[in-house]
Amino acid sequence: MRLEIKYKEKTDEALEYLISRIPRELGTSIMCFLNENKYSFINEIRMKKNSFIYLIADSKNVKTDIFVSEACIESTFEALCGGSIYAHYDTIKEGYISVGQGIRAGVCGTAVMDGTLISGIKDISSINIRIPQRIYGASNYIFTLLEKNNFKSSLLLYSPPGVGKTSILRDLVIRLNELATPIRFSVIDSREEIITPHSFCSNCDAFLSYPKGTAIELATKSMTPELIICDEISTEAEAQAVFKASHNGVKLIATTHSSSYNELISKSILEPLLSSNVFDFAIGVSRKYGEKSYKFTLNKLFNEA
Amino acid sequence: MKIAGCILIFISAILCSYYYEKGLKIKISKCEELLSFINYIKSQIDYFSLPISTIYEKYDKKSDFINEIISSENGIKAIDKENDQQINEFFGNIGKGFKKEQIKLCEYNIDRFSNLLEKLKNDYPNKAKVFRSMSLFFGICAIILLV
Repeated sequence: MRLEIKYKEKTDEALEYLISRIPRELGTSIMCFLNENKYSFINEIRMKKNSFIYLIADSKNVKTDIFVSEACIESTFEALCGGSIYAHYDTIKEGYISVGQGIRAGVCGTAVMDGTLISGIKDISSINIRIPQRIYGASNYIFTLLEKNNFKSSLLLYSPPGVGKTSILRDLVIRLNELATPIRFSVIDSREEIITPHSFCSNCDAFLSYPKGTAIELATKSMTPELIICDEISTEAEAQAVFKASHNGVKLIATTHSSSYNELISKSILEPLLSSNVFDFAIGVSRKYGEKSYKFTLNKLFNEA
Repeated sequence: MKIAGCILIFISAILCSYYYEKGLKIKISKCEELLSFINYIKSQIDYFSLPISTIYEKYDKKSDFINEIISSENGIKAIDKENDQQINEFFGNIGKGFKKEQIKLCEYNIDRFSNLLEKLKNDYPNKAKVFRSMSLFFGICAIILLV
């Protein structure tokens, strides 16, 4: 079954916060560019050393006239770390910084190795700042499906990267938080992208920056959730944790990268989950470049072997 | 009048030596506060990896000198030119690297300022004696010339 959902989005608060964090000159240049060109929202700011900034604005790639020097990218990196690079070591070695307010900045440069481990990074060459959007109504379809089944279904959302699965989860968290009859749910937010000021929830148990597999186990053991929401199952350990949680009676809403249903069912890490009916439905999510609507494809998994 | 003048000169000489001694004591006190602060910073980075702004907020022994260091953008003038440069470099570089480097930076500065503090404390009694004596000597010379 295919369904199309149109959406509206807003990035103002997150963008304002980001501008207050980065070097003043850079922030002013970006805001001037956005105001001159009347873009209503931006998804990403892509910076490369000694090159011009690219934006993904209004779902389009846009080249700006803002040049980023080596000194600028280094000072932006320091500013995004809040002046304390060491405090972000754990995420920097994974290739990103959690800036706060759901903003995530991917960073790359020259790795400093200590044996086989990354002990640091130097000569920053690229920063890619992803700005979370509040997409109103993105999770309507998912929420309706859950409601029909009394929030006792497990769902697996799949799509290629960058389509908006995290934005859907963000909207879903808000919807679940606003239920008249609350349910006990935990959110596993390893990269601090799901829980933002938009999706701040007083009714959920948020596991921020925990390794996913560990957080799922801890949530199951200590918070007795009825539902666990988790982004991007990509490793065997995470799949194993999901499997154990479901066998403890917890329902799960998870996402994974996959371009199609056929690719999904052929993924080896998901095979134990799909064959054991951990998920009731697999929902494909797609979005055409430049369009403001999601397409959902529902696949029933129960009795799928 | 001459007697009044002599008394004034004598008091001025005493005050000069007093203020110079006080200056030495202030340098020692600033050095002690600085060492305590750097030790605190090191421990917070080593054990908790707290962001530097949080470390500054949490520090509960803030004096005017420490507040000046934290809020200064143009550098401070505390001890002498060379050591002030070192202090400004330290606080300019803290936070701008990974844990290992930051700990090494703290340890280097702890070593340096510990040695400086020891030197200041050792030199203080002798310097104080010299300044007292010299001030008294010049005061008495001035009185003799006047009288």
